Amino acid sequence: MANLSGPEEIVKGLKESGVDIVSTLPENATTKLVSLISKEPGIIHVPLAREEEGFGISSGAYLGGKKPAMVIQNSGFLNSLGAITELNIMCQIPVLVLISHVGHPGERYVIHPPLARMAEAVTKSIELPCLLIERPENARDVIKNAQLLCEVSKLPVFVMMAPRLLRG
Amino acid sequence: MIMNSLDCIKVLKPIVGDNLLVVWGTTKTIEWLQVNGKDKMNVFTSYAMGEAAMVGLGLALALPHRKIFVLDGDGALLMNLGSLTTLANKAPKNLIHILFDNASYVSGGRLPTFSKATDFAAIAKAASIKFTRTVKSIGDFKTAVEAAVKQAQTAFIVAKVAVDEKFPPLGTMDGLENKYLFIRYLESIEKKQILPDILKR
Repeated sequence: MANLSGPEEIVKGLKESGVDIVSTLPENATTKLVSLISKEPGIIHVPLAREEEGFGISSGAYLGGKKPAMVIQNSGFLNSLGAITELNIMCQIPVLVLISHVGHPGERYVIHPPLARMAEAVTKSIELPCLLIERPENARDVIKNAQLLCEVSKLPVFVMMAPRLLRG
Repeated sequence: MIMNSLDCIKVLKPIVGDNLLVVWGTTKTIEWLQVNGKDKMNVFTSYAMGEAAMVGLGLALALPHRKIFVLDGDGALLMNLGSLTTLANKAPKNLIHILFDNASYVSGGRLPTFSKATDFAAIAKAASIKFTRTVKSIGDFKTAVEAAVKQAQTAFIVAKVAVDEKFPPLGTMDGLENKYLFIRYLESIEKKQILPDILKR
């Protein structure tokens, strides 16, 4: 069987974790992943105008019995701290957050490295788990473990996706 | 005389029935509990300004067979006005978004918002929410909500209300307690387990 691409492995991981609603705000690196999610049977796809909305939508979906996830860029994570604090942390509502980690080593865009640096620092400061996927062969297991951690801890778990993982 | 939100909430009680509410902020939650009692915790409070309708959207997508009522405030919605486009894009048939517009940041010292010059219903309509109303009396509020309940489409109702003269006494329920009470109530009416038993997998 041919090896699956990074985006395909990620979708497999979401499905095998039971994720059934995914909010997304696409950018260059996540184009293929978001496209796959939008076509995936059994997943409700919710496009966002602003990333913070996804934390609200995911919270409501969780209260109603769904398993939510999100696909956003690290800049969008930094846009979302109000909802993360006042909904997910205050009420202990989990959501699996897949973050396109632009500015990760290996990239050439000069505007991205500060986003990576600040996003990593902020996840530490709000004391929430932050995992990293760099290779397709690790993606499925990391996502399944992250989703389990979400459900056990009842808090958001962030999974940083290296941009090279998302090409494919 | 301008209507107040508490009178609107009294009108809502029999209409909501076994359906669910998402409410922005503490004040409206306390007003709802004053009117509705605490036995059935069908209300979840979103403390994140501008996110009430998004929490409602998530609930509406998760539970398409139940009506979801969102009680919002003008200051909160102004903080996330783009969410009307997100709501309109998914357009769940079971969500009724009620905006209590008192043109004021009441909990922030009653300073004015700039919503006196803002036509929220026109913005919602431009975002492609087809059922929109702006009402200024209790009779019109009741008519609009009853009509919205009969629709199979997203509804957006702007209720022009007075600035509350005083806050209701603050309750002691925090977000965590609210979450569990809401989920346990939902489990009882949906007759299904919502919080997963992870150890049994």
